Amino acid sequence: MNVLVFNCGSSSLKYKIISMPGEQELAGGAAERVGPKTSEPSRIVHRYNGKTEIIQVEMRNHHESFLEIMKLLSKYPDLIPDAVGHRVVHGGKYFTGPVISNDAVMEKLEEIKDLAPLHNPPIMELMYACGKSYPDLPQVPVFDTAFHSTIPDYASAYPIPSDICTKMNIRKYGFHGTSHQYVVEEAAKFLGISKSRINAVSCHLGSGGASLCAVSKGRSIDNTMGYSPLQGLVMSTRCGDLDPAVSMQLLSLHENNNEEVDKILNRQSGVLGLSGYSSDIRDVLNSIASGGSHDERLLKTSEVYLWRIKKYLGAYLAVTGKVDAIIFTDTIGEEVPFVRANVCLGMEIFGLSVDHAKNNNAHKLPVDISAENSPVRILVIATNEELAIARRTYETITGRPIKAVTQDLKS
Amino acid sequence: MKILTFSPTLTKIEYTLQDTESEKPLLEGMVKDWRGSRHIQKILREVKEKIILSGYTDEAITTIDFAISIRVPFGGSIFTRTKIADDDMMAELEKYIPYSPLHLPPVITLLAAVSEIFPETVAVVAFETSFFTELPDREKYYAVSPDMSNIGLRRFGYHGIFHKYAYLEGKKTLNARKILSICLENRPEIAAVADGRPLMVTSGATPLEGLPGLTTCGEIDPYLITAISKKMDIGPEEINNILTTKSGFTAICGKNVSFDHIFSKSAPEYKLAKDIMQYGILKNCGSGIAAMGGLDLIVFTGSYSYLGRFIGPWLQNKLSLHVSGKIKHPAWLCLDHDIHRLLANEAMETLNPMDS
Repeated sequence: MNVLVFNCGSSSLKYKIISMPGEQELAGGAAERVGPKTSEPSRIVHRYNGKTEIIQVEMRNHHESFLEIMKLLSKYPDLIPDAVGHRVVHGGKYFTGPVISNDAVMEKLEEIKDLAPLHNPPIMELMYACGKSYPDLPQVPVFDTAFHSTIPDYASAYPIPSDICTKMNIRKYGFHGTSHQYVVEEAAKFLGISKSRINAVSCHLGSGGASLCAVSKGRSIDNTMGYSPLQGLVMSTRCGDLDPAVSMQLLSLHENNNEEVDKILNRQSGVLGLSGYSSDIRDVLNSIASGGSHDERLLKTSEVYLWRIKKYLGAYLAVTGKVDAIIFTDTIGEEVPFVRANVCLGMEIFGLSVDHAKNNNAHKLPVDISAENSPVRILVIATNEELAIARRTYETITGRPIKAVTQDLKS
Repeated sequence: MKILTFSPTLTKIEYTLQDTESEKPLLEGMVKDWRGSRHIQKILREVKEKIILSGYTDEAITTIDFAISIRVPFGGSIFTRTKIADDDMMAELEKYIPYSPLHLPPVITLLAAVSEIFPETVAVVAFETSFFTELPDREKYYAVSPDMSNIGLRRFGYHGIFHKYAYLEGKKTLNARKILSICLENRPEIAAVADGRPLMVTSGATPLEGLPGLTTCGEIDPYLITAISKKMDIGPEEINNILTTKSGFTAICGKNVSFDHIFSKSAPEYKLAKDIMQYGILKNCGSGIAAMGGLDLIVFTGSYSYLGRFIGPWLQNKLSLHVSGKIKHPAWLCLDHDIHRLLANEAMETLNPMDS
């Protein structure tokens, strides 16, 4: 089965064709500069058989970019999709797992559109386009929030009046679930533990967004993000945790201009706000390391960024109990040994001990960077959200769990 | 020594007359809904009369054996320890009103009234935030532009007097260096204290952040403020009212509750509240242990410190720590001094530093 996986951004549409259950990536690419005209023409960058092809074509919206991608794929008989998997950021209270899309699913997605006003509408536009042009092609939305639907009520409830919670569907939804689930399953495989028995803390440290997830018996029991992806860790431009009184003070200061406050907290805070230099923590760390920078703002940025990860790591190690592994993933988690070493420093009390040589040479992933006597394994695993979406799509359509399929193949 | 203590909150003033030679207060009282300087002066005159009626002369309350100790919730970064009240302090506190607009004005009025009614009696002021002036930068600052930090935005703790007491007692009784201090008040707070220095605290720029309280929301997604404002079409004042007076465990249970209800009753209506409270404590204890890189002792203080007898064993069982190749479970301790006893201690330490 060829699964066409879409990862829809606000002005881009990334795709991959993955043959399942063999998990072989056949082709991939991205429609770029989708939307109103920019300084450069919109184009599709397509990778297939080790070659990259660039096709310049006008794509005014995601509907058009979808049609162009399908037109391109139709030229290659081995790339014709049998199913489509979509990365959907928010599944609200309705979707606790992937589903085959139909009218009822689309109605529910319409209902919860407001929960992710920037992210969900372009994906829905894409799903409508797909349904209209290819009605026989099954589509499976895979939700970033679904993995966190197992977070218990005592960790997901916000203690604010129930009438407001009901009216606004307020609870901790958590995000990055597709990635957390993927790396936890890979960790279980790596350690030879059943994925339904693994206890772990997964650290998805992206160059943009980032979150930690506490996992008990393979299920998410907490995530640092909340009702929205603003809560939790310090991110590139997002503030993460903030005293609610400060948000109210800002709202007052900006004369109830909600958009302005959202802009400050989502786009002008985090690493960028603290450092005033870059939104990428790697720039800040490199500047400190290479120049021996004593710039107080950069040092403070680094301290606050790293401590917030460590603070939550301690919290989640405490709530998870007997932990098999902690996992670092995504751009920062996979590529920056200093962050991993710093976050694990002084955490022997939780059973964490890093082998610094292994940590500094963690290039071929997955890899265990913990010291031999470390009671808890410290793993670096490359995330692959597209493959995770392909797995969920395959499982949903065939009704067969991917683990069983993988074992069949091995045997 | 006799010490008249005042613990003001937004809605009431509690006062006691403590004898440092005795465990029990000589006098205690509480006045609700205190408003304006004339009302406060009237309250203080009545307190003074009660003291005189109980056998102390006007002269006796001006000797070195008599002092006043007042709890002040916020002293910013400038008041790093308990101090004797004077005109300079009053002037500094006036400057800090914009950072604590609700709590400081009535306290300043109280201090002025104390100076009016007890003009010859020495008064010390104990700031709840003093203990946290040396919080490390990594814990102190939020990930926002320094423009906001420059106007005083930083994290504080708001039960510093209890946390200091927890640390000193932990050190004295069990020689503990790394302490998780769990202050069980209506607005609970956890601090991690290593060698006397706070390294982590659950409260934030205001006491609203952190663990949920009986009516306060605690830590929530910061996006919820603008989301609620948009959806409910209400401004920050109304949201503030909801988050400070109608949220927390009152919202979870759908009715007014106390921590006694939550922990002593087994009715299902309190189960979620109890689970939220315990989970919040466990999670923040994990952060505190990470901050200290270890743990010697958990100490419960505050008005509900006795509930530590339920929470302590639960926490002990949940926290499995790796020490010298073995799994160990931390010890815990409940301390029962109330805030007035601690205010008396603060006055003693400040006025007789050599003795304490």
